[in-house]
Amino acid sequence: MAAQSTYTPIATTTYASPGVNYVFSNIPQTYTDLVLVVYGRNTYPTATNAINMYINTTTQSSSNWSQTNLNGTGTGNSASHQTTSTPDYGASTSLPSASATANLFGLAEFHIMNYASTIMTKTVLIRGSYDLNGSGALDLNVANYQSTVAVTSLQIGSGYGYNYAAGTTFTLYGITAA
Amino acid sequence: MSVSYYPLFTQTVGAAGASTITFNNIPQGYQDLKIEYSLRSNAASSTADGNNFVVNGLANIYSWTQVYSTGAGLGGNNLANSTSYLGVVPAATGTANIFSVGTLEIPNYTGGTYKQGFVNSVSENNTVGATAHLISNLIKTTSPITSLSLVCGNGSFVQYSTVTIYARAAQYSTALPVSPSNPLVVDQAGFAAVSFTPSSSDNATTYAVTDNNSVTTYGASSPIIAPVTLGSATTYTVKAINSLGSASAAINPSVTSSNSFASIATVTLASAASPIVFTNIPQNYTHLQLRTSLRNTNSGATESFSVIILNGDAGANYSTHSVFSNGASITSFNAVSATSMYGPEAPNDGRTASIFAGGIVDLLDYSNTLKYKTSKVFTGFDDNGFGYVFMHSGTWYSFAPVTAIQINSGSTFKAGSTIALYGIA
Repeated sequence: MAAQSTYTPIATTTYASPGVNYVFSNIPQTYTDLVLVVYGRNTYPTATNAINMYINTTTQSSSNWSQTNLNGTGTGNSASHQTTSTPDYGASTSLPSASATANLFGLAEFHIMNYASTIMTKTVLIRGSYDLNGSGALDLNVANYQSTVAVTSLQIGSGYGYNYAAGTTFTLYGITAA
Repeated sequence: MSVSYYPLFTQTVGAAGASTITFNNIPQGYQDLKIEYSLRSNAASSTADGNNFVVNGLANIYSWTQVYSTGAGLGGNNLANSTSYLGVVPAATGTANIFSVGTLEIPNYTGGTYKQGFVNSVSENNTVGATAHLISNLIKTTSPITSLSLVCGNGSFVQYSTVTIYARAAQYSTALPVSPSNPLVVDQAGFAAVSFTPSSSDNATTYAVTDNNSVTTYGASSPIIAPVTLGSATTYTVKAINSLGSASAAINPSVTSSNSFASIATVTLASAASPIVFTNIPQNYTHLQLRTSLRNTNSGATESFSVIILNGDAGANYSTHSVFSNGASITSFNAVSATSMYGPEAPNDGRTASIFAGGIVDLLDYSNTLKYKTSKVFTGFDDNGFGYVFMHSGTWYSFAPVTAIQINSGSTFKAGSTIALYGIA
C-alpha cells in the first residue's frame, strides 16, 4: 500500500472583473478523476443563473448530455431529468446572480470520474449549493456525457451566455489513484 | 544483563473508565506478543463476563475453547465464529479493589497463518465461586497483527485497570545493536516514509523512528512509515533496537508536509467480481474517501446500489438511510439493525453500454475508538431519461478502527469497474 500525494491543482483562475465563460484546455491525462470547483456568481439580471460545463468543446453546445437532478430549495424539493432531446445544458447546477444580495457567491463542484477512460462514457457527479438569506438551493445531480473519448478540455458556460462576476474562481484538480 | 521480553506499551485507565483499551502501530520485528492485563469492570454485578480482544479491528473472526474452574467444579465449553474470550473480571458488587490478572499470549503474531491466542486468567474474590480460565482462542486472520484492543464485555473497565504489551524476541541479544545509516525521509501526504540502511550484523531485533514530537513508530525493516504533522517541520531519528538497548542514526533533515490527500490502494476489475475488499488500511489518516466507477453484470435494465461492510462485520450492527431522485420523484428509505450500509450505485448491464455510475464515499474519523463510524455516500448515474442520484448515510455501531472495507455488488461488478481508496490527513 504505497501512499503517494495526490489531489493536485492543475490550474486556477479568479476573475478580477466580469469575464466570459472559461476554458481549461490541454488537460493532462495522468490523473484518475478531475474535480472542478467553482466559487462563483453570474451577472444575469435575476437571483440565480445556471452554470453549465461541457467536455471537449469550446462552445456552449453539445448534443451528448443527459442529467438526473435532485433539488431542494428549503421550501420544496424536486426531481427532474434532462435528456439529449431537451435544450442542452451540459453538466449543470446554478449559482447566485446579479439580483442576489451583493457579495454572495455559490459553490459548484463537478467530479468527472475516470475522465481519461476510453471504455466508459463520462459520469459527472455535481454538487451545487448557495444560500441567499431566505432562499437558496441545494443540488445533487448526476450527468452523463455519452462519449468514450478521453476528456482533454472543459468549458464552463452559463445560462444565456452571461458573464461571471468579478471574484469568481475556477479551479481544476486532478486526483491520482495508486 | 539480557532480558527476553521487551515492554512496548502500557495503558492505565483513567477516572472516566474505558470500554475498550486499544494499542495501534504494534512493531513487527519480534517473534511473539505477550499481553499482561489487570482489569475490573463497573458493571452492576459481582463479575463481568464477555470480555474479549480484537486484532486489527476485525470482528467475529474468532473461535475459542476453554477450561474453567469455579473452585466448586470444573467446566468447559467452546464457541465458534464469535468474539474472542478473555474470561470474567471482577465487577462493581464484587469485593472491592480486586482486579483480574490475566495473560494473553499470541505467538508468531506477524506470520501469514491464522494465529492462536492463549489466555490464562484468574478472578479471585475470596469465595468458592472465584473463576480461573484457560482459554485457547483461534484468530482467523493471516495478516500480521498491527493493532490490539481489549474490550469490556459488560460495562467499562474501571480506573487503574492496566494492560501492558510485551514483545518477545526469537533469541537473546548478546551484543548492543549497531546504528543504521543513510536516513532519508520522503513526504507521503500526511505521513513520511523514513528509509535507512541497516548495518551488517547489526544485532537488531527491530527498528524504530522517533520524531521531534517524541512519537515513535516501529518497523521490521526500511522504510518505516511514520506520522507527520502537516505544516510543521518534522525530523526523525532512526534506531536499531534489541533487548540490550538501541543505537541511533544521525537525525535526518526535516520534512514539512502540506499534502493532505493520499492514494492508498485501487482495485480495477479485469473480470467480473464481487465483493471488492480493501484490507490493512493504514491508521495514519483522519478520514477515508472511496471514489467509485461501477457497473453490474446483471442483465436487467434497472440498477442496484452496492452495500458496505466494515472490518468484515456482517452482524446486524448498522443503520442506514437514503434519499434519492429518479428524475420523476424524490424518495427516502432506511434500514435499521441492518447487516451493512448503503453504498455506491451501479447500473445493470441492460443499460446503455459503457455507462458506469460515479460514487464518492466519505468515512470520517475512521480510526477513532470513541465514536461509531459514519459514512456519507454521493452516487448516481444518468442514462438519457433514466437515472438515479442518491445521498446515503450509514452508521456502523462499533468503536473499532476501520481496517477493512468491503463493497458488495447487488449482483457482480462488471469488468472495468474501479474503486480507489484515499486517505485524508
